[in-house]
Amino acid sequence: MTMSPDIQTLPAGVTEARGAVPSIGERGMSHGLLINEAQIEQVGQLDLVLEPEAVQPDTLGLAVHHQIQIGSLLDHRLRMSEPITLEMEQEGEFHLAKYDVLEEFGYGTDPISAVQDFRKTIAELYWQLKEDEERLGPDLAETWRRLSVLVYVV
Amino acid sequence: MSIRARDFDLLIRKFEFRTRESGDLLAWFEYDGKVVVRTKRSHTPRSRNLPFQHSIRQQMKLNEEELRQALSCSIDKDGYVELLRCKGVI
Repeated sequence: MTMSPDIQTLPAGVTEARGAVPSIGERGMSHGLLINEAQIEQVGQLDLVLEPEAVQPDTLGLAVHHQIQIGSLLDHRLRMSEPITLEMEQEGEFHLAKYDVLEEFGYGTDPISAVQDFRKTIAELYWQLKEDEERLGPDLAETWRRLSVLVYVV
Repeated sequence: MSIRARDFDLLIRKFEFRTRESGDLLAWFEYDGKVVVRTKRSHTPRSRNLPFQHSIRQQMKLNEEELRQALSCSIDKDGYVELLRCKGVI
């Protein structure tokens, strides 16, 4: 079974090796993305299912981090100039895919829907900021500058 | 701290964010003709806590204490504008 070229897993342990893991509260947990071929299933455009490995019983229900790379958005008119790495979190029944560079996030009831929501959110953000380009405050103008480097119209 | 969907709605009404439906409730704050802050919330039942309130806070440019004050009514729209000005967002 193969994964979509749009999304790639990072080797397990990368998060720890970089030593730059965001945390949620004092009890937040972090993991590299732990996934094996047997855990990968095709689901539409997203071809993977993520399962944290070796989660200790005392971490159940707490935030767990992963990283996922994406290389495309859910808008056929847009392309990404390079892949970006999303930080994944879990909080109760919800999963979050976030990219702090743009201060944006997507969420869902599983990692796949969170990443899909993120890919849709960034596409919407692109068109919204493009429309408002001439009247953005400094913060959103900087977001637009970064986004317009990352995303372009085909 | 947690933030319920109805708290979020209260804040964006109080600060006079503009809103649009797009799967989620998109909200943005304009000042002096410029779009300065944007955020969103899921269509969670209004009485339920929103997930990942820290990400919403980050987008609204509020720290935890400021969010607490905003919810307890000690920060109004003018206070929010002042906070954004202090943070260089306006």
